Amino acid sequence: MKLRISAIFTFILFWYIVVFLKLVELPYPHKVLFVFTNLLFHPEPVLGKSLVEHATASVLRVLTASSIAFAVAIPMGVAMGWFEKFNVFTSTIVEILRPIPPLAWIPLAYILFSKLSNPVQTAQLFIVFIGAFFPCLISVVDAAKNTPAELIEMAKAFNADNKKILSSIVLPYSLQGIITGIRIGLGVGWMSIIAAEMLATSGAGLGYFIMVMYEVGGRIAEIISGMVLIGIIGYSMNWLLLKVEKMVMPWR
Amino acid sequence: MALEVIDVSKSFNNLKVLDNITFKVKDNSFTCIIGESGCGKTTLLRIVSGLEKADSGEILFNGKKLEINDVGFVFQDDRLLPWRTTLKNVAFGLEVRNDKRALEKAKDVLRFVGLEEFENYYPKQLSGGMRQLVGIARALAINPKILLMDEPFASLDAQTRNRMQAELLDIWNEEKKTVLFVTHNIDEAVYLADKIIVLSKRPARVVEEIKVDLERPRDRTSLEFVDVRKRVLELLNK
Ligand SMILES: Nc1ncnc2c1ncn2[C@@H]1O[C@H](COP(=O)(O)OP(=O)(O)OP(=O)(O)O)[C@@H](O)[C@H]1O
Ligand SMILES: [Mg+2]
Repeated sequence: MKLRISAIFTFILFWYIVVFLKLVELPYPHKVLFVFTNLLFHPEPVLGKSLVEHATASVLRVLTASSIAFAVAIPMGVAMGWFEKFNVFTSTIVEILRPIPPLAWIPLAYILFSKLSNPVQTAQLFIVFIGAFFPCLISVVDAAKNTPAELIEMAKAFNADNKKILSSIVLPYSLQGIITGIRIGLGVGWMSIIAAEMLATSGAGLGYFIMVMYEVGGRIAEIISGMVLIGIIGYSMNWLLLKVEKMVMPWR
Repeated sequence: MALEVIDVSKSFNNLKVLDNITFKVKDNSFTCIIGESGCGKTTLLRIVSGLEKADSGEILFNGKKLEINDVGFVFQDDRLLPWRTTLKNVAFGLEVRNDKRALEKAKDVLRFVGLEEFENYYPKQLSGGMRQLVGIARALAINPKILLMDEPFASLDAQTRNRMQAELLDIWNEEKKTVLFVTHNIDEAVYLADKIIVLSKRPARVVEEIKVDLERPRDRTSLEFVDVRKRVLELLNK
């Protein structure tokens, strides 16, 4: 804990020095802190929304899209880990799609969904979906595949059918992989939404906020405030899920 | 009324593991199968349980094919589910059978083996001996006709192992089941068995069946006990 606090202080000190020496054109930390705390709840004049409102919009998008991604990736991953043939069949396609960064999907997504009533929203959800889906899937497949053969044999010795083996052995064994997958998936999804928001008018969202602050004339303190909040939220989601992990797996 | 293993042979690829294994086991008797490490004991139990198919031969129980539902299996490693408490682990087989009273029955069995205080412990929190006892309770819970035990005490220290053997005999005395107990420990076989089936080195054949007519509880240091031990040792070294 002491080390962590001194790390933060060192960083801020470094920031002051860099600005003081005019090495880069940055506002001082306390200036950013002032803007940040001010904008947290008070609407910023250009867009008329506070940081919290922007953050809420981004978080909701990520949660919606990631939930859909996880709802597909978890059962699919368990099935892929369990049925070798299904794994070979799907992993071929997965392995080709997986290295494509979520951001590379942005132009295609905007075109694909252009005919819908809310193309921007849909495309952004789609991009987060892509970002969250693959890391989660890979993590779940890996865990499910490693289910010890001994435990499966034990279940068979008690005459368990495939359904019981899947629900009582493979799924709980994969729980660690599922939670890790959700954690990493949310992380990637969070980065993807910020990028996706920067590319299109979405009315609200931290990515959109940063972009607009840049376009109206390089409001550095506002931009950094947005970035800081992105960092804080990303960190908190990760932290929260690590706690959840301990809670749902008391046997570890 | 008996369990019959008739002419069972098994090879893995080109490795012959079991060679015409034939023996009969009386109802409610305690039979130990002894053979050196790697000779095919686990394979034999897996075939008897139906987990593995024999290349030839058959397993009969009272003249009919033995059903996997009639068998309770206790493994060499405990194979408890780490995410389940003791109680839920014991209930596993009952759950598979869709028993509505699974937890109640599991509780009864835990009381029976003396682990009721530990019903909410996870396997990680139990000692090795307790874990094996939970494995035994899990097998007993489904009230099997035949109990197959694959070196359940092999990983325990000598003292715990002796205590567990005595405890197992207590359980068996009350629950009268047909037990097929695999071991490579001679002392253990002589202490537990009504009958010892001695297997040869791989490929395993039945070298001899030895009746052990000593009274229980057996004194491991008595002359008769040591005599039987000697006999088994000679046969194993043949
Ligand atoms: N599924 C399998 N595929 C290939 N070979 C196998 C398989 N199962 C067992 N064997 C081989 O069969 C032989 C007998 O194995 P088994 O596990 O039955 O021996 P064991 O008598 O139980 O040994 P231990 O006392 O060490 O437990 C070994 O050489 C093993 O390598
Ligand atoms: Mg073995």
